[in-house]
Amino acid sequence: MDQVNKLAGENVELKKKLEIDVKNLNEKLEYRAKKNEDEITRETLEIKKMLQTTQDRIEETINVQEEIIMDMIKKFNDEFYKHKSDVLQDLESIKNQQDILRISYTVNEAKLLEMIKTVITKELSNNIKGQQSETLMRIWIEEFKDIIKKFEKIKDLPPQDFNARLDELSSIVNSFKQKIQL
Amino acid sequence: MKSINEINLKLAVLGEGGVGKTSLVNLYSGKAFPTIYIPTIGSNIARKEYKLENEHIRINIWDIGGQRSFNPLNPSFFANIDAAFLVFDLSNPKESTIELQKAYLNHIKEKSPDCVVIYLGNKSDLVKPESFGSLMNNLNQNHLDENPLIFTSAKTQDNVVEAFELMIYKFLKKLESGGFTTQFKNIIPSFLNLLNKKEEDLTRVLINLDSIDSSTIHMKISPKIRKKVIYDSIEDINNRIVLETPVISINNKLHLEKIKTDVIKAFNENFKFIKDLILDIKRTPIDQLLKKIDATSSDLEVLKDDFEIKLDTVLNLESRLPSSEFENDSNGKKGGEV
Repeated sequence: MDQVNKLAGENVELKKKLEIDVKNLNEKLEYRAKKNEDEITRETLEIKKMLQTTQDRIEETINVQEEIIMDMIKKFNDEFYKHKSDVLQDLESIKNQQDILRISYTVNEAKLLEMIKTVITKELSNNIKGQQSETLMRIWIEEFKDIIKKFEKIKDLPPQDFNARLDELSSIVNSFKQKIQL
Repeated sequence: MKSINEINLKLAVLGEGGVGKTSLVNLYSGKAFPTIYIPTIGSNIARKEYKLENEHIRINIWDIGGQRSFNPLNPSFFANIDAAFLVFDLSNPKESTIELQKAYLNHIKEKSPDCVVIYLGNKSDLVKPESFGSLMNNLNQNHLDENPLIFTSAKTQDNVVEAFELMIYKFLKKLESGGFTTQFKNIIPSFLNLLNKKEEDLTRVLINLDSIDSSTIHMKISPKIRKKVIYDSIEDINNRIVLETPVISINNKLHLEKIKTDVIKAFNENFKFIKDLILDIKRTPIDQLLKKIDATSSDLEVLKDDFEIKLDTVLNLESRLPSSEFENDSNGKKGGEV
């Protein structure tokens, strides 16, 4: 019995000791947790601060770069407008020269064509002097061969084009009839 | 608006050179009888129109030159012919009738089998009474009874218009019997009414070789001629003299110029015909369109050849025309035929 009591007493002692140990341990754990939390908070703040610093630095760099680029663009634009203006002036000048050239060409071309026409007409009339009828007859025969060719193809035409083609052929004949009236 | 039926009749006038084809056509189409003989170069086209109440009959007369050098037997001349006069010279019937039978009639039968054919014995004014016998023999020997026969004289105008009218009448008869009775109802009475003639008046000019002989042929020839040959002016007498000398001098510049002018004139006269030929297609009923296009195409080819012949002739004449330095010597000292 004594033994039992002894064991019970020991048990109580142990229980108390255990409770004290648990309590101590909890206190230690709480302390440590708190300590850790504080540390995390502090580190977080440090990281945040560091990030902010870095971000500020990057932003500043970007702003500087942007200013540089804008300056470059502005400079480029200025130069471009200056060149453009110069080129437009040159173009205007070229256009003026071209117009002068064109007018002069047209005048000369007309003169030249008139001269050629006169020469050809003169040569032709010399060559066909007294044979105008024969020349017109010959030209007509060639034209008539062409008319016959076109006429032969009339069967292949769709109906809506049929009358138009007949009118066209008839008008060619008519125009020759008028030309060849001697 | 009342619709008018257009009837186109392609009438060919065929025969040997110099038998009087052009004179017959000229007389019918209202032109003067030629004062000198000028061969037809290639072909000439004359037109005449009869305007009936419901129909317009347009006669396209193809006067085909009979000179061998212009190839009158060119097969294309014989295509799509509705009617043909085969003309021969009554004053010299032997050769011309044989040729008509052998060449012209056979070509027509081959190329235009439905063609209405009438023989015209022209120059009836030149048949002398002493030649009646030989004329009858020739006509009988050459079997001219296969088709109707009419004696004509372009010079005295005997039976010329009547022959053309009879031809149209026969063509209309054929048209009527060809299944177009409804479409061309009353066309024959209308035509006769326009002419103010009866059928007997038209057929009266026909020669029946079975009921005629050398003793009665003069009744078909002589009386009318005597009635009409009247030269009432100096110009007519001069013309008569020229007519009896049909051969012209190639050195006579005036004659050559006249031939050239005539050829160019004939060249130009075909233009209107070509235009109408093309535009006629528009008036063709749809069921006959392809046939009409083929026929027109063939006609255009013939006309093209004809233009070429005329141009060659003009160039040939141009080279024969004496140059101005010889003009004073060009009074026909050296004669020749054109």
